[in-house]
Amino acid sequence: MSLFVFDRVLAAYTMGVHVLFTYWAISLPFFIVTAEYLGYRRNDPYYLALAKRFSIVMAVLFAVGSATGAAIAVEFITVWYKWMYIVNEVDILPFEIEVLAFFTEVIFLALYLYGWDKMGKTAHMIIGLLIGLGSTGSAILIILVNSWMNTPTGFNVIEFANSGVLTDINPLATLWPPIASAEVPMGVAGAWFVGFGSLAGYFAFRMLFKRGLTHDEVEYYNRGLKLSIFLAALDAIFLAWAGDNAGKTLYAIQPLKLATLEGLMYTTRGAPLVIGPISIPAGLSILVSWPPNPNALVLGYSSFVQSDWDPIWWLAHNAYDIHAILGIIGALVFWVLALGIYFKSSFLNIEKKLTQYMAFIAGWLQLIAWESGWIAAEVGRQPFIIWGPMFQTSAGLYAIQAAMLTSEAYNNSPDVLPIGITIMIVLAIAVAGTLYMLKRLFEGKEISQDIIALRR
Amino acid sequence: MNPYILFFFIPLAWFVTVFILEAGSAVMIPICRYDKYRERMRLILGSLWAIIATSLVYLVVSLNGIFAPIMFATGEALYGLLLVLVIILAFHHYLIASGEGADTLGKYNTSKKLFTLAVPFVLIVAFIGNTIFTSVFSGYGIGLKLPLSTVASVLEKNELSVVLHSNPSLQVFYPNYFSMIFNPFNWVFFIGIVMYVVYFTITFYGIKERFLLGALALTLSNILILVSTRLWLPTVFNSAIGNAGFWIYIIILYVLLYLSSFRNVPFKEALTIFFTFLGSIMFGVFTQGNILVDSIPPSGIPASLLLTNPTSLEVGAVILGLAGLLVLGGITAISYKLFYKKGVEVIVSKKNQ
Repeated sequence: MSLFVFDRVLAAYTMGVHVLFTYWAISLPFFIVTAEYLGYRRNDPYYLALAKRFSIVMAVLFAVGSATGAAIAVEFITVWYKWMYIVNEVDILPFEIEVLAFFTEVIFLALYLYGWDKMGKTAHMIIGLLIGLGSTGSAILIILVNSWMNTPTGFNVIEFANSGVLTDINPLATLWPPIASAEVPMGVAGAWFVGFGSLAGYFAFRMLFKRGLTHDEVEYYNRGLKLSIFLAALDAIFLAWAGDNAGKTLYAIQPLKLATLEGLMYTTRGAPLVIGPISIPAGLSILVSWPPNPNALVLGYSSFVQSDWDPIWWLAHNAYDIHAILGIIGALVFWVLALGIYFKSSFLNIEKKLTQYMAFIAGWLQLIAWESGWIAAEVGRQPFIIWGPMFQTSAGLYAIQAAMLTSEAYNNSPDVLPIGITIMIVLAIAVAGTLYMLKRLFEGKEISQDIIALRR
Repeated sequence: MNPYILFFFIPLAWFVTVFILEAGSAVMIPICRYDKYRERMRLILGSLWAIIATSLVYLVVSLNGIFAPIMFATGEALYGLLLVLVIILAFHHYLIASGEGADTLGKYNTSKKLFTLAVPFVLIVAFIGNTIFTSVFSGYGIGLKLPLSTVASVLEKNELSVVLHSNPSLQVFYPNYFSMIFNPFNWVFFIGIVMYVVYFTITFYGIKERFLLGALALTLSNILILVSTRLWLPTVFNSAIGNAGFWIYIIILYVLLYLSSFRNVPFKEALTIFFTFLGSIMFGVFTQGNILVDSIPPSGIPASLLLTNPTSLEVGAVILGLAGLLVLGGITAISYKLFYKKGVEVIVSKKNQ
């Protein structure tokens, strides 16, 4: 394997592991605080047990997420140091503010964990929400750096692409690059959806496969499943808007990336929406235009110079298809389940095996949707690590002027290979170790014990 | 000295201080014979996780924000050590966090085993950290691919991005791992730091039974650090010995050891942390902002050549300042109040029952 490929695989693997933990860091505080609120409001010990037990889970996942975050940060300054040099000169402000958000999260996490029964209920819940604000703020700021890589701002990008001179540097202008309008809502809504969805998957799994469930366990898992389904269904509305908005924004700002994700080879009026084996005539044109126009012109690869085509477009396109299919199925399933539970349907009751199987499958599939969406977003930016201005050539084709190509930014030292492989193995051990640690933490700590303690 | 360079020594000195506290406690838990100190060491380790994690993040982001071009050194000369550090840190975090978890659940034998297993990783992290530190300041193991005059000229004119644009395969540095790791400065300085950790731990916990060991360790530490800097980092040595403040500082360290051991001085833990932090800052000031001192005679190159552009620096300094307040103030205070003090109260109430 060439170092150019390996460096990217290493970054993708490390980031892939890191994002596995981040979606819980972003969604768990809101799940926990809602459970705590319902527990107080209904005087229900099962909801309070949910909040208490999952706050321990949140702390463990936070610690591992921080460690994997440190790993990717070090990879940035070693394996992708040329890219990081440009980021440091122009776009370091989001990283610096992210540190503030991260520290806020740490402070409030510590206060929340130790604040049970030691402070007012409202104050405790507000602190819980502040953890969520801190983690969501961190996510937004990191997504802003990614947005900057797609649509760089805060310096004279044309001059930089032409000569490498960094002029007109304005760090404040990096705080909302144009594509952030698409990436930020998509990232946040997606993280919440995967978090709530996988929680639903967990509770459904326990209800389906744990033998000899006690009464307390049934009540506990019931409430957990119901709450996570409602939160996922609520977020699915936001997610649907975010997905639609992302398509329209890409159409306006990054048409080449849209062509890559949709696998659109030829510029077409009335472009079809192709998802796997399904093709909806004029679907893509309708989705990306506003007001919806079935004859809208969508640029395909045929309108761009060949050197700017994504060399691994098929990977981005297939990953995007998987992401879209699983995301849409997930949203539909959680809407249906939420409606069924809300209207007390006898068919989709929370205790029906069908409901549990639907939540279990749709919930866990969101992990694949999350990872594939991230792969699509990153691979779809190739061959650029920092995109540049789009212009028209004399031949009438469009071209992107690279601010920096990925092939110019990687570390070509052979030593990266053995150390990188070791890092990948260690990260796999860290994930397995975390699951083992979580299992050990709750060993012998039955739900009924918590319920008895909370009833006192 | 350039104020931004001085600013960078704050996160660096803070991380060094909290890591010394962690290393001292982690190494002493398995070997300390006195239960009363061991209990406090466990509590301290349990309180430190948030501070260690955030301090490291603060240090890395400060490095990125203040010294943009230093990425060429981290990516071309130091990458091997930094990536290995990530691996060792993962084991270090996992073992210490698991040990704390086992402690919380009352599984003390398991926690002792885990802390014992963590000791070699703590020492390796300390050694790698020390190697990076000594390499950057002395220049051992960091080779220049281009003539020094070319590099200096490009940096002075802020033309690094232009050179990178015209030559994407540009390489400025190369590593020489043998020289980086096995140079005498690295080892003598490291042993000096280990001796300081011994002194720090005895003073911090007020282990009066080991007062003499503390005094001996501090003396050895001073001798080793002074000798190593005299031989291999003369800018630091010359600045230190001619400075009355340095000698007063050394005397204060001995007085602190005595007071902490025999007079139960209030805030001895805070004072030990403060003076270690101050010592690290003093080291930074004594470098006079020069790096690669030994490899580029007579006094290395000024680190100010590696500063980020002034606009990004100015905006970033405000945010990094606020972040510093949160780490050094907020997170430390919360960790002390919620983790350490509560832990002490629990132990006291158990003993009273």
